Amino acid sequence: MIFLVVYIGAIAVLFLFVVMMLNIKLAEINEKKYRYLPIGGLLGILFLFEIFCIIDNDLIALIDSGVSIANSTQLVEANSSQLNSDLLTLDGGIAPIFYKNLLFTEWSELAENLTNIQSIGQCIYTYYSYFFICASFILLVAMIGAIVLTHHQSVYVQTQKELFQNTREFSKTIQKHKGRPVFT
Amino acid sequence: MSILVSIIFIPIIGALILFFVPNWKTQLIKNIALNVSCLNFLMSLLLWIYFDHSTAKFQFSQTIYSESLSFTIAIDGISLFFIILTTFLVPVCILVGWKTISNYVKEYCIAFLILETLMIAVFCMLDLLLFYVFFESVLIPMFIIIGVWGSRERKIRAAYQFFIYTLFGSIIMLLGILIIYLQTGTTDYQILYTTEFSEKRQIIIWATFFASFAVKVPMIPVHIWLPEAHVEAPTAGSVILAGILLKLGTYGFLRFSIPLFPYASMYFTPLLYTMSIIAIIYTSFTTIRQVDLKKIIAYSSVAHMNIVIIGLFSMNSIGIEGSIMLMLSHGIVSPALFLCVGVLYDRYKTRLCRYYGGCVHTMPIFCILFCLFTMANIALPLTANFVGELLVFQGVFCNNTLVAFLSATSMICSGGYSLLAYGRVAYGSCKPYYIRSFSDLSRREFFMFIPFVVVTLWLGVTPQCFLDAMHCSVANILNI
Amino acid sequence: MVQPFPDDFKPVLETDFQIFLFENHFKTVFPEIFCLFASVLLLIYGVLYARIHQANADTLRRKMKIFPPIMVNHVSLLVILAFLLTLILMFNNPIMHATIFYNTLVCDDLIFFCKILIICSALLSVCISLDYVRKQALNAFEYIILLLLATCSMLFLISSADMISMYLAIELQSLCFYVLAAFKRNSEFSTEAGLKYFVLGAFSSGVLLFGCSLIYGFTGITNFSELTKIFSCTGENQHFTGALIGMIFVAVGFLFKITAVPFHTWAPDVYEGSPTSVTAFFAITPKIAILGLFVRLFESSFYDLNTEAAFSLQLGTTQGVSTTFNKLLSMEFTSTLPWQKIFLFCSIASMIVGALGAMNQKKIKRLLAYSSIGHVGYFLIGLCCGTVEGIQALLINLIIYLVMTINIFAIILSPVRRDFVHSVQRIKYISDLSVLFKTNPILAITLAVNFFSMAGLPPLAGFWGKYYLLFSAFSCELYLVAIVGGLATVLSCVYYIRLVHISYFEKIQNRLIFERVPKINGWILAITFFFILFLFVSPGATRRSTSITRSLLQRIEIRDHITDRHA
Repeated sequence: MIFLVVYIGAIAVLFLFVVMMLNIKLAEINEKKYRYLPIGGLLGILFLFEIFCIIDNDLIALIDSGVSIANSTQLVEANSSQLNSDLLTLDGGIAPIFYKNLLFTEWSELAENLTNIQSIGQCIYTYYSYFFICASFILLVAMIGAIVLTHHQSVYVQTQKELFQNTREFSKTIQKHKGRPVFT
Repeated sequence: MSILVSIIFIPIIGALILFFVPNWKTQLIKNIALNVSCLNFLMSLLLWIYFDHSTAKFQFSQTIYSESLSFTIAIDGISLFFIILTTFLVPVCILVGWKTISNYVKEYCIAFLILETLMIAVFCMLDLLLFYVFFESVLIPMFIIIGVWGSRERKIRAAYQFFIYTLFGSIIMLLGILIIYLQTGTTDYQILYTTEFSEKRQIIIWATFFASFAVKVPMIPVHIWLPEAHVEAPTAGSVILAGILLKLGTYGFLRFSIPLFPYASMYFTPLLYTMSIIAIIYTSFTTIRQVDLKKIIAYSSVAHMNIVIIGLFSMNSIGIEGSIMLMLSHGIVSPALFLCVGVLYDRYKTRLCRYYGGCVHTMPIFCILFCLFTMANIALPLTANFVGELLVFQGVFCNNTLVAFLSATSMICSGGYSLLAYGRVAYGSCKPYYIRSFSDLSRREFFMFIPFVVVTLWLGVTPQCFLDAMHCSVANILNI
Repeated sequence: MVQPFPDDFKPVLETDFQIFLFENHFKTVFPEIFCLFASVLLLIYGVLYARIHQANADTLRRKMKIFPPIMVNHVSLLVILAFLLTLILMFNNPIMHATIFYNTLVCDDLIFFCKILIICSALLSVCISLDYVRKQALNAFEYIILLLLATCSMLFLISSADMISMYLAIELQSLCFYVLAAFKRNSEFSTEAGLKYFVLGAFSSGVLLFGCSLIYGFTGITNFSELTKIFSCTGENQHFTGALIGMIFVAVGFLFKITAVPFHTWAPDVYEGSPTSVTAFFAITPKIAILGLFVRLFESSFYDLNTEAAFSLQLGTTQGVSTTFNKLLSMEFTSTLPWQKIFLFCSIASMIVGALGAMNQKKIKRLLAYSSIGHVGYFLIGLCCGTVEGIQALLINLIIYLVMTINIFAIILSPVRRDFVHSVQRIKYISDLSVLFKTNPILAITLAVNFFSMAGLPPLAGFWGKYYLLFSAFSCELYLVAIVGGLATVLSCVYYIRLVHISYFEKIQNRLIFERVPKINGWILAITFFFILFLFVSPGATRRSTSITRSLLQRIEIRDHITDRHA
């Protein structure tokens, strides 16, 4: 739960940044706000409707209902190897032997001694190491991009020189000139 | 290395040599180009000398194998004369531009030499796909020739029309070739020659081929590009267009459509007759009201080519031989007429009839030649066209008298418009208001015309030596 | 060679997993690893070198005007070197066929071929833009490093065997592209291009991800080869409607990225706005990667995904499999599959819109954008054939397209001197070409031949590509798309020969002079020109080079089905 909250917070801040950077004029938005609404809304509603129709029908439910058993049975026959194994065991799709012997894997016992972070780490550094490296490169590119696009590499940048400033003597900086004032 | 291969490669080698000659040595460039093309003409005459008249077999064949592509180049009695015609016309094209082409001389010569290679390759290629490839690739140099050396601003429009019309037809033909390839697994002509296609398929493929060839001929609804292109092209461009490119379409009909799809050819014959007769009558009447000399010749070319189509689809050997003769003679006479117009244009920079008159007083030699070619265009006996037209009408008459009758009206019409045009230019009073200075043919121009005169009369007086060579091949085509 | 991963993979958390697997796995992707390391090292090098000099120069700057060094030139040279080395490593890779990293990456001949193409195109596009980058004062070496990273990501994209790795790779690639598009910060157009690309790219990535999640939701699988199995063995009453919609979303997401037609609107703006060197890169490389992925995704994974469930379970698994196998290899099938319908539509629409849209353009880069849209349409013909011929034609076309596009961009990227406006030192408008034939005839001939080739005129390279495509379309009875393809060729001819006409026939309108073409551009132009011109001497050369795909596709299928049978 805490991860979720942190994540949402981060995303929200990101959006804020984007909104800040985009420099959108309000008037412009108001003008065009409703122009695309009818067709966009229609398409959106159609799309959502379709999605919901499918989800009701076909999605392999995590919690069993009558419909999904039939589905998953066939899937097993069709050599699908990647289905969630405990689900199959529970709904008795494979063989009745499992019911007779009552062979259940107690997942809670197995996962007990690992925290979330640990388990994620174990996944990420073993089976999903490639994804991890890939993601890290994405972040690298994002960083390069952000620096390149925003950092002005001008020659005449006024940089602060702390040492120089601190060692300045007051008496030497302000001088009394005679005649015409000179601005340096 | 057979003669045929060397004929294909000599112009390309010439073009390569020209590529390394500096731009400003224009005289050298022209000399090289002329010599190379003349050499090629002589080589092509060797083809005729060594040609075996007594067989329908493909001769001088050279098969080229590579891993992906194997094809044969060879000629028979039909393609022999087209190759000679091509090599005959290209030196003339270079001579025409001798004085008048002043900018981009090197490019001009290279373009014509490459064009020559491509056209010869079209006529001797015995592979359907490669025939298509070369058939199509002729467009590129021709487009450049019309666009760069054409005379007026309208040339761009003409070049576009020429390009798009032809390409549109050819793409459809490509689809037809693909259908053939899918059925037989080969595009080799000699194998296809022995292949049977089902009737429905024949009709479809024939129609796709028709789309391409009809544009090139040109048949009636798609002939718009031809007058435009002829008028706007430089004289040499018109010579090649009228002399060779128009023959590509009819050659395609003769070489591919008729022997490969005999059923479909029979099926479509009425359509072709109708279209051709409409074209003949319509263009003949259109020609009468034209004022641009080049347009007159262009429209008369349309009429003549449609007579050729009628002859081809008469489906007997007299008609087909007549068509070939007519193609050859049209390939001589029509370029010669364009040269005549070119001579006038070079001097006075106009092609409109109304500015000319009384040339017979000021340019007698020119008028004699012009008269001769005009008479040949009317198909006067003893000139080239007469033999062809006579044979065509005889062939059609065996098949369909009505068609023969209607198409024969073209002889009258052609007399009308040709004499009208000749009369406007040669006779009447001089118009010194428009044209002040006069000069007759120069020596270069005169010698340029001499071969045309000789060939025109030769074709008309003793056609037998041409017909002998093509008998067997024509019989072979009809024996299917 | 490589330990096969157990089929019934359970997420069991064992600590003693197979250590030895890393030995071979890293060898397989050694070129990519080298590429990544090169990019990181060059980044560090660039940053440190620039900083050190800056620090030294800091105190003296006022007096001596020492500027921080402009790294982009020698970093580009180093990147070219890196590409070459990657190419060498790729050719000498000992392991060509492997499934590695727990079924996330895959190597085989098709992938190898596409990788070579990608590296070549990236290499060439960097080479032709060297002069541009120098003169245009694109003074940031990150530009070239991002290009290298993008190429790396495409290498990974093409060899990914899993939805997740695919998504990550394409995200890496598009992120690089967003930055590259917006790289010219002082140009409004470039910023606009970057923003547009970013918004639409992010949207398409979202669509893609949604598609992946739908597929995962309805099948429980993210792996491509597993998807093949599950779809090829579905029963009659088994409807994967959800997975079908997921597949459509995946397709849409990718079609966005390769600018196929209903999703193409961003392309002209982005192509026009981004720096020309980047446009050259955009126009070629991502298309190769994504089309290569398409081949793997749709010709094998989603091939049998069919709502009507053509293969019944009663026939038994093996028979169904053999039918699939026959279907893929034989020429005849009548009903089009759902994924084919999508691509057929997109292909037809792209060809038409590409041809029509380009007709009225004034700027050369916009025109090339539309031309590339048209070409994508042609590529999709090869894809939607679903036969080996089609794939082969697609790959041949990719090679030819690569050569032609490099050629045209080498001309556009060569320097030009204008009389009045000093900011634009490159060809920008189409009317700028009008000086070409008069000032630089050799360049004009190259350009004309290239445009004729792009238009698909016979003896040139472009024709052979189109010929193979139309042939493959005919061979699987997709007559409509073949005919539209033919007609679109004629339409596109109109604007290609318009360019030729402008460069040859028109009077000079703009006062500009072509400077000396940079040496490396000259070499590349010469080589590509000769390729375009003389491909007809042996058009089978390209065909032979792609003939590996024939063997390889069969191998994929056979391998899959053998494992299938055993399972």
